[in-house]
Amino acid sequence: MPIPKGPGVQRSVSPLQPSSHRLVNVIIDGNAVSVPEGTLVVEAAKALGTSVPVYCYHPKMDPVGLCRICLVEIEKMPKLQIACSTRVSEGMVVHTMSERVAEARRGVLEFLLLNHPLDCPICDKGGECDLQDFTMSYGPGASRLNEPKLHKPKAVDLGPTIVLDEERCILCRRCTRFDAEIAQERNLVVVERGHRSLIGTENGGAYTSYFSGNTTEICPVGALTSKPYRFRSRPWDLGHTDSICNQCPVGCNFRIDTRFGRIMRTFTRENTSVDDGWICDRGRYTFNYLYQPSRLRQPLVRRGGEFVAASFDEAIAASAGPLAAAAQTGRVGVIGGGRLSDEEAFSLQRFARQVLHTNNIDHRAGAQRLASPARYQARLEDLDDASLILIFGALTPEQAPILDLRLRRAVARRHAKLLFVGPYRPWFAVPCNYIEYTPGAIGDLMNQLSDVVHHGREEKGDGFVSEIANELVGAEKIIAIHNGRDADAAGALDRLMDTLHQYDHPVGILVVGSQANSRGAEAAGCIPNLSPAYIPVDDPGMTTHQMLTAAAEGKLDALFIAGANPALTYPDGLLVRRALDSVPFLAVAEQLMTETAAVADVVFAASSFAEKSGHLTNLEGRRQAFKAAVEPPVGVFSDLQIFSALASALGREGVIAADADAAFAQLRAAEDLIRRARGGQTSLPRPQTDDVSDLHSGDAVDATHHTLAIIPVPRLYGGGGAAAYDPGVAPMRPEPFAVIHPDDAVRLGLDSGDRVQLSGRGGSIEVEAKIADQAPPGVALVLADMPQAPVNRLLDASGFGSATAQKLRAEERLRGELGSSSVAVGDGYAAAGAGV
Amino acid sequence: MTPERERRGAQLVAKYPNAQSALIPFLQACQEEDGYVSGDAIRDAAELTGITPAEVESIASFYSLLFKEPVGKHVIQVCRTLSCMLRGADELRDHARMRLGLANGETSADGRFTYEEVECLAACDRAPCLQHNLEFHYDVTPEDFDRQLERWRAEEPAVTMPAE
Ligand code: SF4
Ligand code: SF4
Ligand code: FES
Ligand code: FES
Repeated sequence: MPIPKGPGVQRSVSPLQPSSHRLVNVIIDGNAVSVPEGTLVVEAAKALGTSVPVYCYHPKMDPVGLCRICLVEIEKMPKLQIACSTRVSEGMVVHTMSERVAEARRGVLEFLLLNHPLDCPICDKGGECDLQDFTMSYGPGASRLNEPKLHKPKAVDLGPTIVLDEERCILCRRCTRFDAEIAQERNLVVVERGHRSLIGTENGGAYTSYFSGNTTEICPVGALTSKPYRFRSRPWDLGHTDSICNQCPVGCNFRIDTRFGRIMRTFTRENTSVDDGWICDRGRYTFNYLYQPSRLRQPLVRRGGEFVAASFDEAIAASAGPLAAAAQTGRVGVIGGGRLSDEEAFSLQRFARQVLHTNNIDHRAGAQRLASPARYQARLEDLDDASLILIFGALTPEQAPILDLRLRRAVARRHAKLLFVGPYRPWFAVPCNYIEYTPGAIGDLMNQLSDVVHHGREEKGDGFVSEIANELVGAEKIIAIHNGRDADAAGALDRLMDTLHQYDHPVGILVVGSQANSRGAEAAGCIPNLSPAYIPVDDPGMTTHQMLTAAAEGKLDALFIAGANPALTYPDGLLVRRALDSVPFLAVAEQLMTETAAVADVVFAASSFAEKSGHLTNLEGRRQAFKAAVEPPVGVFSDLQIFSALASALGREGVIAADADAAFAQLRAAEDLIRRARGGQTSLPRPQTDDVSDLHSGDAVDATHHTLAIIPVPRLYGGGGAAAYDPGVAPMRPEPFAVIHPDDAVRLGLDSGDRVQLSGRGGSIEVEAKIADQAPPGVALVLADMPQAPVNRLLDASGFGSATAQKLRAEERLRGELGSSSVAVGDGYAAAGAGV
Repeated sequence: MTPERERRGAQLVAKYPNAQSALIPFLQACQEEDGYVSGDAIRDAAELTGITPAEVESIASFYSLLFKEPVGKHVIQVCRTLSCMLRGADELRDHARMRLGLANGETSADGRFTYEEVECLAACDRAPCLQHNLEFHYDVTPEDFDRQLERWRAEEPAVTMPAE
């Protein structure tokens, strides 16, 4: 039965968009231009290359007309008009450079500067400040104020990332509007009134938005400046390099600003289709780890149980023998690619397949199994006009913040509906409907939905199934977002989308992976059953899970891990520990002494995103180039150089290109060949996955509540690796916690803030208890991937687990705090990062 | 939120088509109860109206008759905006500070007087002006101020702040 399309959603036209497509003719400073009716005068002027000065106006936000710097003369209007809020009409004649306009600008600037402290020589904004620039271009040369100036707080600690100077603030409200309109958070506000107005937060609390850094860029003056960049450089001393953020799979475009060969800051580089001109704070501030003592600066080789510094050639030589021997017997495996560039991921699988002659290659170092949808790949921009956004698994605010901004806009401005299906209710900045559902059953739910949509009636299931089905059927455009962990649910989703698509509903799918380039690695063939561009191989190799199992059983002789930290991120912590302990030879290429590198036999110091060039493929499948901004330290080599040198040492010189351009050419050649071979096939073959469904049903909540089901939850600043070592991120880093339901808390005698020990199959961890009904009864939501409390000790390969919980009494806590971090088992990992 | 406050909030919200319209009346009710708008009141108001506490604070701090801290029985607010300044508000301000022995925003130790300098009281045509509790005084000279102060010292105000 075909389902009629529903009435759809109400769309409000964004005030920023011109209201029609009809063109009108306008003359600005004597030049004619045709622009859509309703265009703002300031934008029409821009089209002619005329820039009208603005402070409060920002092209991404609604005009407010606060500052008056943009006054222009419009014929037939007696008074000057503000260009930022006046819309053009047919025949309008505008003068932006007349004497009246010049006088008005002088007047506005004189007012803005009235109480300004004029401390430009020590202001970070100096050199890129609109107040400086416009005063030079249009302002009065001197002040006529004889009275003392008004004083306001200076160097205010606004939050972990920002210093605020209230005296420099011109109250344009760009920052507060950003927080309200773009971030939809509304925690940054103007308090007080008139001359006393200040930028502030509730009761002087910290401004902790994940997007806070953007306000330092859009503040037209030096009122909001970035803490990590404070007093570091003048803008004219900075070199600029176009780059791509590699902290999550969104792939925001940004610029790396350097001085004396060192990164000073990162800055937005607008790509409307990807980031819309914003970056999140994780992306913005995660680069100072490169300059920490913990950064690996030379290869290390284990001799007599200890790491000793080695030359690159020594490290290569130490690895060649064991790898060659293991390759001979086929008892070798390679893990990695998800944090590497496209060309590196391609070269890594080539190294596995053509040098080690194995298909045992897998980029999946965590619970994520898929990095792409088989079909209906959506673009980020598809969120903009979606009417229904259906999420399961993915926590977009934490795992893909800039994607989440788009989602927020779609919900807040265009009234898209947000529907989250999952085992608990994660926070979203915009209204969300939650469907509580056990993770293991989401595939079933998708199947039921397909049935209902298809047959127009409810086959089975609870009443809400038809309710969701109605939402789906009524939606004009549906975008589904998941985290690629549940292959069955993803398959069922594909079928649901097929059904909806059949009835002419535009549908799309986005997969938010946990590694920045898992999509690129998957496409480049870092998958045991797929070679580059998703071509199935005849003789599939082992998945990460199978490799780890083989290693733990003594069936693998050598393992090479590049840019991956399974010791921390692989869900089955017990298995990964056994595997890494048992495998006779382990070589790791890393930037930092991770938990995995700490137990290796050879560690290669690898270069970072800023020290090499290449490409990254973001979650929508968009390949983007990034360029090297700085030189790596001596002793640090790019992953390509490492793979290439290893290949040569194994007698396969030239198989792996050592430079990015050549490797990219190889990758492109492989893709072209395949594209021709595959023709019009539209559904991507699926990566091989492990059947782990029997391990944990996902709903194994113990009725007696002696044990708690464990669901790991990601946080933007959580995790290991760069985030764990970066001083820029450190002030925002959460402490390990477990959210526990009030009923369980009573049973366990726990209060918020208590230390609790969670013990599971692979050992125990110690975390802070947070009591909240966000956790369903019998479930603990545990912060994922924290080096000091690795939740994977409690999990199995399904990504879920269970644990007994015990409150830690004072003396045990003391012992934990004073003594070593070895309260929990797995001391081998506790040493990671310490002093090597 | 205390049950009493919750009840009051519900009553106020019911009066308007939109919960946010109840914000100021609710803050007034809280101030009546506590003598000022406390941090708890800010959070209660946010919960009631569905906006963030920061937004409530932004709005509350805009109004000179919503107090962030406990105030005296007599609240004296001298206008310090342009029209009044041009007509001698600076003199009045200095005089008032001296006579009361209070700086801007201070409350006397005995809890009787609070002195504040505020933005335009919308009585510019009869500048300089001041507000004593809910009562306006126009064209105020230092001598007028002294006369009034005698009176205020002697008696309890007819309307105490916060207003009931
Ligand atoms: S802090 Fe900057 S962005 Fe915010 S209102 Fe002041 S000048 Fe504008
Ligand atoms: S959203 Fe992701 S890609 Fe964009 S800046 Fe943040 S971490 Fe980087
Ligand atoms: S830019 Fe037009 S009023 Fe501020
Ligand atoms: S300036 Fe004082 S009342 Fe308006």
